[in-house]
Amino acid sequence: MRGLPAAILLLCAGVSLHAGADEQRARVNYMLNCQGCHLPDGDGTADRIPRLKNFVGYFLHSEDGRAFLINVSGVASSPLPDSELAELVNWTLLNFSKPQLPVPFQPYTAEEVAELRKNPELDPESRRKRILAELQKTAPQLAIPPVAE
Amino acid sequence: MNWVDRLFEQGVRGVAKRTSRRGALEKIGMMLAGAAATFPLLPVARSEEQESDAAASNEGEESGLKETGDPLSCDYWRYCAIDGFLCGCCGGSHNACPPGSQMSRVTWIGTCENPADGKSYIISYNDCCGKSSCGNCLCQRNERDRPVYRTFSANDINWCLDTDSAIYHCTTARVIGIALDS
Amino acid sequence: MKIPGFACKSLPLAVALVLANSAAAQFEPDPLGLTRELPAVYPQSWIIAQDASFFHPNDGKFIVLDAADDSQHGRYKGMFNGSFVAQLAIAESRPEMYVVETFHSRGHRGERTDVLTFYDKRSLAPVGEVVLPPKRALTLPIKFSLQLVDEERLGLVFNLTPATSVSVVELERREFLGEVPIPGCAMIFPTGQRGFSSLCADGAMLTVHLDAQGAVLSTERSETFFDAQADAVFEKPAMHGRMAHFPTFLGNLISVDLSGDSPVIASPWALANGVEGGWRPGGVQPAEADSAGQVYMLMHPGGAEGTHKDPGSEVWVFDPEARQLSARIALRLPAISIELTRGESPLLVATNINLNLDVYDAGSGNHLRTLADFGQETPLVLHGAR
Repeated sequence: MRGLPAAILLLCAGVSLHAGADEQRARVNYMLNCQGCHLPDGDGTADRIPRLKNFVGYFLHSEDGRAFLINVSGVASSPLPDSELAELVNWTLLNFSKPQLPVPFQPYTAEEVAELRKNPELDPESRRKRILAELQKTAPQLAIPPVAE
Repeated sequence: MNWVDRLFEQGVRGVAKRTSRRGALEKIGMMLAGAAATFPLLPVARSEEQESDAAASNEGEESGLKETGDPLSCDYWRYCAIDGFLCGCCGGSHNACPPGSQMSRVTWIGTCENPADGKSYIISYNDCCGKSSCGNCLCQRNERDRPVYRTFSANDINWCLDTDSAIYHCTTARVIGIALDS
Repeated sequence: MKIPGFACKSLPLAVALVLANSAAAQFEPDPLGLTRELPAVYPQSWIIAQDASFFHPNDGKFIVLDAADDSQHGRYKGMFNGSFVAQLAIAESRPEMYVVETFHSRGHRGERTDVLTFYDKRSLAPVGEVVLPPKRALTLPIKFSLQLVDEERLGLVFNLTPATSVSVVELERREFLGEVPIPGCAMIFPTGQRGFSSLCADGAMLTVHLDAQGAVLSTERSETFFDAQADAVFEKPAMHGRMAHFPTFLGNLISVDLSGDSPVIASPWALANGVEGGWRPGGVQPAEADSAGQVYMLMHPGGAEGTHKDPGSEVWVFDPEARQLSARIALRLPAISIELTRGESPLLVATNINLNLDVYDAGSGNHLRTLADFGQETPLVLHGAR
């Protein structure tokens, strides 16, 4: 981002969201609420912060995984209202991990997010490993890379 | 002038003259206590407003962002929630680390209003790490800072969390976007 | 000259012997290796100044002072080190203190090691250590990142990577037991017999109870009771036993009873009720309680967004049960942290903006003395003797 004229910061990258979604708002919300840890390109850090880029989409291949993305505390305890949070999660999935998403991609709704965020996950590391191990077994065609320890 | 200015005007004039360690510590006390918003640490005071199109640049790059004020002063607009030493006073700049230090990618993010255009910008306060405290230009301001349980909005945390060394050297203030309320 | 009965040659020797004998009666050479010791139970007027040495935090210090002593140098009882923004907890049931600290193998670089170091109160010497996962929270000094529970059998260390968790240490066997994740939550407020609570980003409180081996017995989330954006709760309450009195950014107080299995969260009330001037709590350690349970709060006027760490020009004293302001103590200099010594006549000790310690009589508010120039740099948090 360094050195870019301010105008470029406002451009959309052409990520398609469902009707009513605001790409710019989602991008800003990502910066304010997620980027500090998950990093601008969604890379995370190998041992500490989960990677989103070309990875987070895998979770939508199981029901537990789909719930997990909203249960996880960084999402569940977000200061954002349900509709903006759904918009942000959908944008994140499409922007960072479109190739990994199931087809068709079923975006989260505000109602779904409202329900799921009532149950923040207390042991996210264990659950994440379980979900991915399960997917590696049940959906080997996804070729999910092993999770970094 | 708020009550802090009134109460410490005497002290600040004295502090600015003194070069003793005691004088430096009094500055530290005020800075740590959050009074920094009213006291630039360097003799280059608020009165020196400069228009600068290239204020955000390093190595000759122009960001196109319109800015005013002194990037080596605690009350520079980008530093509205900074907590630490200004990298510009340590051989770096407001958006670059000093030689040999490592910029943390993991950080906390705030928003500050730019007086040059009245818009609120998203500021990423990346720390530079791997060397001991720079010791110059200690600033602490806390606009929209929140307690440690709101980790991504907390400036009391040492953010050297993904660098080779956790030792904190100084803090930058990178403009990364525009906030929506602008 | 010749002295009858003495040989000339032996006169000097004789004189020397006489002189030596009389001197020996008055002079005993100092023995080698004398070292002072402190009492196993510190007097109630003693405090420990936690000095993170912010300009060179690898060389942090904990300085033991008698806040009631008027002697500039006599009040200095000793010190011990804490490396890189170390935190301190003090045991009451034994003469031991605990410092959680961070080392890098080459000083400012190299492999990071976090340890819990055990200090003896008498010798101020390290007597043991437990190596911890290298993930303890690196923040400004704050008491609630290192706490003791289960009658001081377990030590709890707050971790932040930025994911948050708590490391559990068995203090009698000096053994690391394990780690408890507390995602989205922070800090350690002892709860019940062997548990702790943490404040969460969504405005709730998480409570974890442990078994004797430090494993999780139960985890419970409270109802949300605050809005971190609109009126954040400070993660630094005034503690009185298991009562935690949390100030908020806008100047309310929320008292939480942590004595049972679940926190009992009282309704908030306004600290500055009826007082004009926009007074709000603020500072590094703004809230403390005395032995009687009165709550003391650093307050600054003209509060606004971003003033929650501003120095306070007054300390306000509250009866938390009656929800009433009892007294306002005007400080001789604004302060950023306070502490109350224990006992019936507590001293109010405040780190002022000159980074010296002002000592007041907590009852009358009279300024008694200032502890200055004791080798400190940034004594941001103070611990009363216990």
